[in-house]
Amino acid sequence: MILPQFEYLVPTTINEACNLLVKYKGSQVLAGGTDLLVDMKGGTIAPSCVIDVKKIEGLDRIEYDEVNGLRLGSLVTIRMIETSAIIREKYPPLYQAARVFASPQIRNRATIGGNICNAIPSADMPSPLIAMGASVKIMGPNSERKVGVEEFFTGIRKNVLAVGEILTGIEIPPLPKRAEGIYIKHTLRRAMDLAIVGVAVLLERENGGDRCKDIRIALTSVAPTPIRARKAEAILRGQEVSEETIFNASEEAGKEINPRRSSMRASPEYRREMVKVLVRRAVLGTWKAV
Amino acid sequence: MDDFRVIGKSFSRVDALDKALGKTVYGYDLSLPGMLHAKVLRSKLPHAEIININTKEAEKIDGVEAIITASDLPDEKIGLFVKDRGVFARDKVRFIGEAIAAVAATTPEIAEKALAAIEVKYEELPGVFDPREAMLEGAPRVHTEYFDVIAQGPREVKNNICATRQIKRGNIEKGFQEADLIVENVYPTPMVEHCHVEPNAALAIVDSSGKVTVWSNTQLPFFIRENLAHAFQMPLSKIRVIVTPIGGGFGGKSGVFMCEPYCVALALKTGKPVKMVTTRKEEFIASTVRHAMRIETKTGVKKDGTLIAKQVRITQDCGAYCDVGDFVLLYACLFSSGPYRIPNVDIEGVLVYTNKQIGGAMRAFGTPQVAFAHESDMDIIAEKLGMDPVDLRRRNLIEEGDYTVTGQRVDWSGPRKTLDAVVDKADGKSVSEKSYDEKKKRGRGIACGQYASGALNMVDYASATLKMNEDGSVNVSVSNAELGQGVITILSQIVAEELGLSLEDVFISNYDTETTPIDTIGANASRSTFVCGETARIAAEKARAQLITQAAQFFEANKDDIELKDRLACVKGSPDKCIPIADLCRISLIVHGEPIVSSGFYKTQRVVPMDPETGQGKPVDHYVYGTSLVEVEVDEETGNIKVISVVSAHDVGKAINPKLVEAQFQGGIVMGLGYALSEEILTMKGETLNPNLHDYKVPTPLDIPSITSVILEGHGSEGPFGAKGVGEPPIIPIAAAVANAIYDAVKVRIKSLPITPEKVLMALKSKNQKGGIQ
Repeated sequence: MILPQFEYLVPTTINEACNLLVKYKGSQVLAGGTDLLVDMKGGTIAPSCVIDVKKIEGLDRIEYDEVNGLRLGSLVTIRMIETSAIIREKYPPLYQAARVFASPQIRNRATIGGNICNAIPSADMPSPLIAMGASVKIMGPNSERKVGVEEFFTGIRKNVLAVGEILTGIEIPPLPKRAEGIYIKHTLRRAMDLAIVGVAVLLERENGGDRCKDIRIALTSVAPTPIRARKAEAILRGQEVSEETIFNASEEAGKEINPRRSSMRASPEYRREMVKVLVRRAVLGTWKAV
Repeated sequence: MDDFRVIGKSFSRVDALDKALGKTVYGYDLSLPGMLHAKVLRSKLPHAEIININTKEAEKIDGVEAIITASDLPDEKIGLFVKDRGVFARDKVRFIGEAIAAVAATTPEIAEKALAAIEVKYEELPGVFDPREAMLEGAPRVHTEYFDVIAQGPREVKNNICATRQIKRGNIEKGFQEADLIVENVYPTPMVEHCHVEPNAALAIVDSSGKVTVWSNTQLPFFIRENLAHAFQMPLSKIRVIVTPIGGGFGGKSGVFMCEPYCVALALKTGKPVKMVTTRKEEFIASTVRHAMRIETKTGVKKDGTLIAKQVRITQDCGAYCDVGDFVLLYACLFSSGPYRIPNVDIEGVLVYTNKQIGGAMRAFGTPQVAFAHESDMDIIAEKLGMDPVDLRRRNLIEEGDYTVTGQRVDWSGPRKTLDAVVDKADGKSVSEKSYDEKKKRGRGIACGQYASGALNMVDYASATLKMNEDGSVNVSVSNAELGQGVITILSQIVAEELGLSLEDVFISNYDTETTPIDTIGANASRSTFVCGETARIAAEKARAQLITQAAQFFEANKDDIELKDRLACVKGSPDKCIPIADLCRISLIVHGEPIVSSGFYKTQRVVPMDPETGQGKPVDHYVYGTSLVEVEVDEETGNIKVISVVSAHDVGKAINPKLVEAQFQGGIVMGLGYALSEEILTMKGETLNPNLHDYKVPTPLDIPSITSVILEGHGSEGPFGAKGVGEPPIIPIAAAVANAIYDAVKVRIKSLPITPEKVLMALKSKNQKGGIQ
């Protein structure tokens, strides 16, 4: 439970950080440290070099305009998201996910970039971002690219970042006018707990009608990565929304998951049941509110 | 009649400000110049022969000053009541976490690195992890014999059975024959961990004469001293144990294997101060836990609800060593039929060795387990008979003049009073919260409990010394440790009341085996206020008599006319005849050559040990009773359980400090809710799967419901001002009350702890399938 020895480097520009990552193979990026340092103390990883990106300026900003939507630097803390009036007003699922994230102490340290890059199945930030169509900005030594949050994850603790690449920001487009979103996290405790299941929904209502124009359903903690419940979405998209279609969609969502059998937190059967119940509640809730 | 000035008042704790400001020096904080840091190498296998331990590579590491193993120490076994364990595993390891070697190094980092460099060759043995399997012929044997301290001799261990206990009264067959209804149930309960904030910590030094001083955050300093003396074959006088302020204990600092022997062994070897602090993981795997139990009950009842027969079979998972397992089994058996009048009783308990972490002392020894069983039974029976659960309890609760299962006469109707108090407080309807598409149902459950204040089935004693100072203040040394329960505030109030002083005039010294007289079982067994408090009061009463003698002489008045109050000794009715107590202290010392010093000793009066065959006797010095009512809201679609409120009433004799009594209620209730709903140490083949505070789920502040405490006074003890202990009882009824409330809400009965949302949901589904309701 003691930190192993490592080299500690503090770049001040993104480019410098990228170059250090290339130079020092097997190094790790340190942002809030709430995952990295715990893993290092527990002995699950032992990087020879830790690259602290907190001194890079400009990565902790929250910017919003009606045309481009929301842009978050990767060092924006969960607490900044939780307390941002604009996020609370314009992107409620992100606010809701920040509210139920770990504890206030952790929220003060943990960053949205770290939560995404760490890529654990129970992370709270990715599902609402996926539901809202967010993408991440990735910078490398001589490159820059944009990847949908949905495409970012490749497995448990695995992502698309190549050696030398850093996630520098998150972009969420403006939400459609007649849309409503929600994030529901199911836990045993009411704080400081990982999701048994998390459900994020963004639902857009057809103008003046009883149809669902578009919907995204993203699920946390039910597969090696956050996933979309695409078949469930298809049942609702462009359709009239009724208790029956919602029920059918939530049953379908229950079939789309791939939970671990060995989890201490819940059996796959229970997770499946929770996906069905919470997808139904989330869709019904957003439908009634929109 | 209540004209107390200090007693019965809710003073803030005397240690509160320092603790709030971070100024208190806990065991964890201790440091000495040149100090080394100790770490212990622990077994990675649950059951194995040790073939070889190679420390050569580790010794070469710069900064490593000593490495010791069993071969460096006398071949002695130590332990609390049963001596079955060496400081280090000698020939074989019996659980994952057992100590094999210890390292002292200049930094904790180096010590940890050295542990990784020690090579242990094992030959793995088949392990046994389920007590029922462990008792079968041919099962792997964890132990073949142990040394019984009480019997002073070796005892053979057959079929891994460490201890048994039985209580028989009346005629059980006849009882079941006369019953109109017989109900049988099985209740498994899990291992849980204390989760005190501060881990176990100790610091040892050895002086040039070979004398050892150990600072430790222990609840049991005299046991530490005795066991260290035994382990190192040293006289008691060569070992001094000083207790530091303790950051929580709950029984988790009542062992002798966590830090002290390793610090002492390494300090003896290096001649330098050696400190050790356990990690959170060690607290889960290597320290003690609450025993897992399997409780089988069979209850016979008449149509009108009268309990007529109760059979209980308890299988208690000991873990790899006994620790206080036999004592816990005694508590569990004694309290397993509940606070009820039952003429025919047949209780048997068995404590079984397994290759797992060790069960030990934990808040209310064995009793939350059995209360979960007997109080779930009561609600199950009430439903089968179509009775109200409160009425069923009222009909059967033990009353003044009745006899307990051990034939001990009950001296007041405490159980019914606590039940009535809770029912009175909790009127008003329970209303479910209804929002769109969420099916939430509310329910209420009640449960009763009983416990003992003061050590069970043995004479419990404590002692104190007191010295008055020339400024009228007083130093008292009492054999009890402050572990957050507020005992030094309580003791100060008792002494201040007796001597006519203010709270701030009393100073309770650190508990120190060299300056504090001997004691039985330290800060355990809900005895601190009762036994240690009475000891302090007796010492103060003697000092008071000395002050009164001095004052009577000074004023040439009758002793009966002297009163002590507001730091003055006065002749009653003569306001001009007053002298400061400080002056009396000086006159007594300087003029008469008699310093005002005194000692106190108190031992419990009523205990008659139980007969080993029938269990008959008077094992409880003072019974304490309690009732809790819990309201929950259950989400029928997720199984989620939200605890809305808890109302508890406990019989405390006299609340020396009502605010601190309430704090014990609250702490016990919250711990009980964790036990009921979320806490469980998960193991697979002896390996702990969740040895950390994110996978092992203690309630957070957001999980805490509204709590109403009803302090029931009126039936005083022989203790100080009638006070009885209340540290442990509040946890006892909680798990059962939660289970009963969940049943009331959604009509599913969960008979194992913790009651997780998953268990509730699966039970709801299977009920709906059976009942054909969807």
